[in-house]
Amino acid sequence: MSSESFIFPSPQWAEAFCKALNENPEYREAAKDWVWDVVFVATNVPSTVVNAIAQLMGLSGVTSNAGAMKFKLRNGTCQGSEFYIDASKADADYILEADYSLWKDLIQGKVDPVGAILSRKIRVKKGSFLTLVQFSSAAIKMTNTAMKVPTKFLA
Amino acid sequence: MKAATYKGPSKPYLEVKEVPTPKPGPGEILVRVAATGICHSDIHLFKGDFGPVREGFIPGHEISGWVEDFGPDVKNPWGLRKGDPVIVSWIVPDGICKYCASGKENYCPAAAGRMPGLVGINGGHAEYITIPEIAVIPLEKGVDIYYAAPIACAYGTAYHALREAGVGPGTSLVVIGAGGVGLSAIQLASAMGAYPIIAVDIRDFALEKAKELGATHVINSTKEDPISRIRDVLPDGADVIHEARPEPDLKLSMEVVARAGTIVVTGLGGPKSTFTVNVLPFVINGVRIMGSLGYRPRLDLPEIIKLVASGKVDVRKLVSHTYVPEQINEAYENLERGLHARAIVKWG
Ligand SMILES: [Zn+2]
Ligand SMILES: [Zn+2]
Repeated sequence: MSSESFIFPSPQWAEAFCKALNENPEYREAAKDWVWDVVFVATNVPSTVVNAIAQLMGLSGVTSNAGAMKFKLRNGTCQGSEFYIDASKADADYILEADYSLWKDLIQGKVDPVGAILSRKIRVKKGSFLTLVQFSSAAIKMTNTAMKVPTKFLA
Repeated sequence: MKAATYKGPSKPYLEVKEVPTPKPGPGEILVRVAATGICHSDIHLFKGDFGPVREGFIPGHEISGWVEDFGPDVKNPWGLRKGDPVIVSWIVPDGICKYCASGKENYCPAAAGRMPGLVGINGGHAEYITIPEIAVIPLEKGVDIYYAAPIACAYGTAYHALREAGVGPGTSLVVIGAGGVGLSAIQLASAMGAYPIIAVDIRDFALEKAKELGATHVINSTKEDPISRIRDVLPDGADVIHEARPEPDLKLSMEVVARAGTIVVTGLGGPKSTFTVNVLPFVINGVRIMGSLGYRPRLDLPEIIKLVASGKVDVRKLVSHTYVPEQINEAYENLERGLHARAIVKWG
């Protein structure tokens, strides 16, 4: 693994996560029947983080306090990622939204993803809750994968 | 008298003709019919979904009219007199069994075997009907007798379902299917203080009607994703979901019901309809799923009539189409095409 680490959330982090999913056979097995695009939205992102992302993307005058990452997930693989500084522009079959701090806790292994969904700390804004619940082992493998991505939290 | 009688399971289902005027038997009241409602259950009846129907049977189970005559041995608990406006319940309980004694007269076994216009006894698509007196409920003065006919079915069914599900002030409600029962539910729930009230249907005109009757949000599920729209309004889900469409499947309901919420179903489905429910979310969210049949004639109908008489529920807003008896086959045709909010036939 390289010594490089990625700001969360950012286009670079999304790309690294997508790659890490493809390298994880446990995720591939648990998500083999998953065939939908997913957007993860982080809300209440601290301004230091937003400013850093904007700089990374070469944008100026960004007023957002959110970020959205879209992943094209098919049969246990990740076929691409996108990043949106304007979360309202990100659309997919599933949209899962949570506070920046919740995603941070999740990636640091402090929060269980299934519990976070069931307790609605992660809000299922779009998509079938009932289908999602059937993929709880995939959600856990996905979180384990995220924990392996070298991540830099600026706040 | 003039009556619409059953011909058979292919269209046209009915024939309008002269038949003998019935005479009230012991314990019965003769009612001169003002209006009858055109209800989706009739289509099930005509197609034989409830069992074979004899030729010559008179359907029509949403009935309003005037007291015309009394048979022998009538006890007349409401003190009715000739000419009084009434509605006729299609639930005709015996009034003496344990279900009746516990206020669940809609589940009275005797009522299951005699439903005017549906099972056993002739209904109200005629100028007159004779009916056991327990099914005759007085209408308050000032309530439009013609538009009152749907109280005896669509409103009654909706009201009982809402009451059973615990709808009251501040209850968040989703109504799936804005047909006669669904629209009645929206109008009644609004009068009962439910908020917000979200209507889901696939027909824009039905959703327009839903808005007029008190829906705070309307969703056309062919144009928008109902799950995400409902979660935008109610992130934690709805306290009560009323599945009022003819073919309920519980899919959307289970996605958007709140924890400890209730799904109440009034759509009858076809003879082979089933639901599938995911066990885990059903149990861990403590979801209540309940069926609700009709209404309690002696308890629910007078309460609805009071809501109407007080002006909180305007029954004239629900009825979108009025027909004369000779147009009755056309009325059912239009019902099957989904054109009605609610339709009535005027007989007198
Ligand atoms: Zn009916
Ligand atoms: Zn009984």
